[in-house]
Amino acid sequence: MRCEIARDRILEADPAELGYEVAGDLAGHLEGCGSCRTLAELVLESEQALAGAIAALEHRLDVDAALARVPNGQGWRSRRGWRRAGIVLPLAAAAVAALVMLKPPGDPGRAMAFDPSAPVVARPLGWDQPAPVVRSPRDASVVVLPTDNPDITIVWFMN
Amino acid sequence: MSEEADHMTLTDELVRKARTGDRQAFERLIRLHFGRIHRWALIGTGDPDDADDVTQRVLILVHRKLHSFRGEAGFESWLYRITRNVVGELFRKRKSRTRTMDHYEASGVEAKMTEAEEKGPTDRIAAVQAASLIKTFFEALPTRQREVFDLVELQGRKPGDVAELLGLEASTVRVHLLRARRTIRSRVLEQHPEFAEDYR
Repeated sequence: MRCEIARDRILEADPAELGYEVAGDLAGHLEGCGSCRTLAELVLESEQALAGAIAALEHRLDVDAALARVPNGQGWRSRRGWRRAGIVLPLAAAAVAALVMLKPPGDPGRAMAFDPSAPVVARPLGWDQPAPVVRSPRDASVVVLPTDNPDITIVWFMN
Repeated sequence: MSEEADHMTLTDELVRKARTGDRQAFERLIRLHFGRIHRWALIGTGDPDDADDVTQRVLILVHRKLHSFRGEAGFESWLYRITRNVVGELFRKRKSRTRTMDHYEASGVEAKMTEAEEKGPTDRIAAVQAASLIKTFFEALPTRQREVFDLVELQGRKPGDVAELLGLEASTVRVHLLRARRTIRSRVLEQHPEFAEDYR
């Protein structure tokens, strides 16, 4: 192996090969060529110096202090949990807001429970079209709560 | 049983217990892997303070997400992915890279190296090159090459294990490793023009 080729190999060689104790073309060359051997040693020493310099940067956070900042128990709600809560609450609020505009038939001031097998249809006041505005899910229990305000009725669907 | 196998068995056992809410097991698990997490964070960020922040965040995420760890990949790989994601998140927020050299100089290593310079040729090489090499390592190498070089070359892990840890093909790890070696060693040679003369 020529020195030029050896030098090129040194740039990518495994550190074990640079030790020239192992078998192989490069190792054989290093054994007989003082200049290339010095270069290989320089590379190895440089990498040791790099390892030492990186180790010196590891001033390490204290593990006890770090663990003390990790909450105990299952106090952390998972991100998915927050997402679920974030969706459910606005949906519930939107449902109530929509129902606020509806008034079912019946006397105000009295809660009414319906047979779950019969879908409940609620229409806004003055709605004289046959199409329902809100239809309960099949088999859901339904509670209708008229309020003092004739324009406001609360309807609960429960599974 | 090898030390590595013992380590894995202990990790599996601690993960199983920690998943049930056993705080003591969780803490032992973290102590077992703390050094690795911090080292990965340092290699990823190039900044010891950022490495501390990343490590802390990783611990909180591990605690929060441990119940979702299914064991399909190894725990160490899972931990590595979390660390890498936290490092990425940090840089996305900050949009700037490392302050490694400030820390390196402040750490007093350079002063020690200069002191060592007078002792002999090997120490002199270390003194002259350490600062330049660490700069090359953190600023010239892409993150992946830095990770692979650190794990294989500096920490002595097997390339096959590193491939598994990083979720890469073994051949990809090898390419990253060769490129990183070439970059760092070329820098070493640049600082020693007398060797270049020999090859002309």
